[in-house]
Amino acid sequence: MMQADKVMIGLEIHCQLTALRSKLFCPCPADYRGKEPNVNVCPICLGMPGTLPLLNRKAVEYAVMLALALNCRIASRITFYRKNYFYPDLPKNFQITQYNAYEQASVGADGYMELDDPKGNGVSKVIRIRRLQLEEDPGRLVYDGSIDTSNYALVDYNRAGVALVEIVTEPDFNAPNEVRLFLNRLASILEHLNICNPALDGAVRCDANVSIRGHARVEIKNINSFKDVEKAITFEIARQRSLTARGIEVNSETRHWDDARRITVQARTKEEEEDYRYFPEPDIPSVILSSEDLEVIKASMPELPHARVERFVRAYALTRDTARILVGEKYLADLFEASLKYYDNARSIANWIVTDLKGYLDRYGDGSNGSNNSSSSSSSKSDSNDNSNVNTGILARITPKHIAELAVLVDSGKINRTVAKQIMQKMLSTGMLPSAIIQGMNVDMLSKKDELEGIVDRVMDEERKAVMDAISNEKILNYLLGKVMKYTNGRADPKLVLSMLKERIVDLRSSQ
Amino acid sequence: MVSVEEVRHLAHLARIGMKDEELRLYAEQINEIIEYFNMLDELEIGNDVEPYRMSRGYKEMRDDIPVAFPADMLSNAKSMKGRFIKAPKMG
Ligand SMILES: [Zn+2]
Repeated sequence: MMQADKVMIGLEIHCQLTALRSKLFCPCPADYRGKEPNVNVCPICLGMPGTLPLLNRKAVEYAVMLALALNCRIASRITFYRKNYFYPDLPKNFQITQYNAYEQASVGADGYMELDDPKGNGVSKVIRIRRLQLEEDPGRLVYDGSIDTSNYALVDYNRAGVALVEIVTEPDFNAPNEVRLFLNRLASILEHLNICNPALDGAVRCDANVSIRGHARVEIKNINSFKDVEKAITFEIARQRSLTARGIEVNSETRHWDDARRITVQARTKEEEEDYRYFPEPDIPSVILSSEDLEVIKASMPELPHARVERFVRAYALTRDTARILVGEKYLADLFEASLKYYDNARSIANWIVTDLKGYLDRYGDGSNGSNNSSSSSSSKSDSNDNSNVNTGILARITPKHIAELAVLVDSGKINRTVAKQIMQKMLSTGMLPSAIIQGMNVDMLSKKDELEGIVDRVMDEERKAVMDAISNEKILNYLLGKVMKYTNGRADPKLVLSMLKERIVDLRSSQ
Repeated sequence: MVSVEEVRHLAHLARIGMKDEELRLYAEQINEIIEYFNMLDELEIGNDVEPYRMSRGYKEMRDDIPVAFPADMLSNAKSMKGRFIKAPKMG
């Protein structure tokens, strides 16, 4: 790739602190999902004259935790600013946010995140974090019909004032897949800190700025899930490359990600940065964070993903790759550790979770980490204290005991892997324990010759043509084996069946 | 000094329609206010005075306890559709 063609990408990420129970500046309940419009509102979050915002200490604590996890410098004096703009989703006509023009007012600044090399060779890249700040979410606008045909907006202020952390990176990404690695890691950190559940609809949002070196920068807004960020950026790079290839200059502009059409479209520009007329919020005293306060917060922080991976490698002798896959999605790592209490064989348990369970989830889905399932807002229960596992599908049914029982059944030779996979399917769809499934389905492995003679003879009888072919071509034996496995619902010991089939074919060959 | 054009831009940002004579009137008034504040520049305050900034300790902030506001805030809203507040659509 030519140096001039280098792509530079920066991110601006908004994470709702979904573990909080009240809003950022007022005691209104923060859980707005699935609620009637405008029920979680009070004079403060509606911006009534004469009201005073009251800062939520837990929000500061969570933001500090995240800033520490991202190696930021923490402000000793945290200050809020007003960002002025007029839009119906903003009842006060300004958003309370933070601003670093004069000193570090934001909770965190100058941090970084290390990206692991996907091939497992240590750290492949360092992404610098410019700042991390606390701010309030605006309300939610909906339209009768579509935004184009409706001539008014309907406003629901339940979300107005919900605590957000904004993370701004330097333009250190050079490819969309690096963005994906970063966001996956961020999602895992959020889950491990138990401050934000990224699987909740709208809990994490991302804007991206994309430029090709030597050309203008384009902002992409409105990307409403981590999953779509990579797609939006990939599209935007292709669009800019096609322009420059034809000698057309890229416009410095703001574009929106059109989720339905999977493209970016030009947006009417809002205000210029100077139009926001940031000034210090006079109603909120600066927060003085002493070194003792900081130590208390540090000490209360849960284990971070990076440390957990190292512990898994050290304590359970897992490969770093396996450990990373488990920790990459917190519920998998939690399931792994909890399953060990029932069956102390880390490699076996890890194998079932990483290969079989995750394989199934990747294929059929169950609202896994980082993927913003758009239906999750209607289906998820609001459990704001422990938001680490709100999956209502498969994962709600699978307990550590399920995984442990399955692993024990196979490791003890009671069933083979083929049967185990059938049991797993049934276990995932019904939530029944493997021990219960086995009782109802007669699945003990058929590993005695006399149990199998009848079935093998029946297959030989029914498949005469294949049997004749098998005499000259031993590969056909696998076809016959498949038939036997089908008749036995996968319960037969394949090695034994193969040797029985071979015996019969050899007999036939010599009698010809 | 604040110019009429600056006030016009502010009016646009605030999505307020203003006639030219209103813009002139407000520009004049804003300038009078700013001039009044200029008196502060003449105060003798010495050289090394730290600006006063209100601050509060971390522990003094509000606990994260949700409390629903007891009154229905919607009774003040002018235009509703169901429980939604109706607002102008913005370009
Ligand atoms: Zn409120």
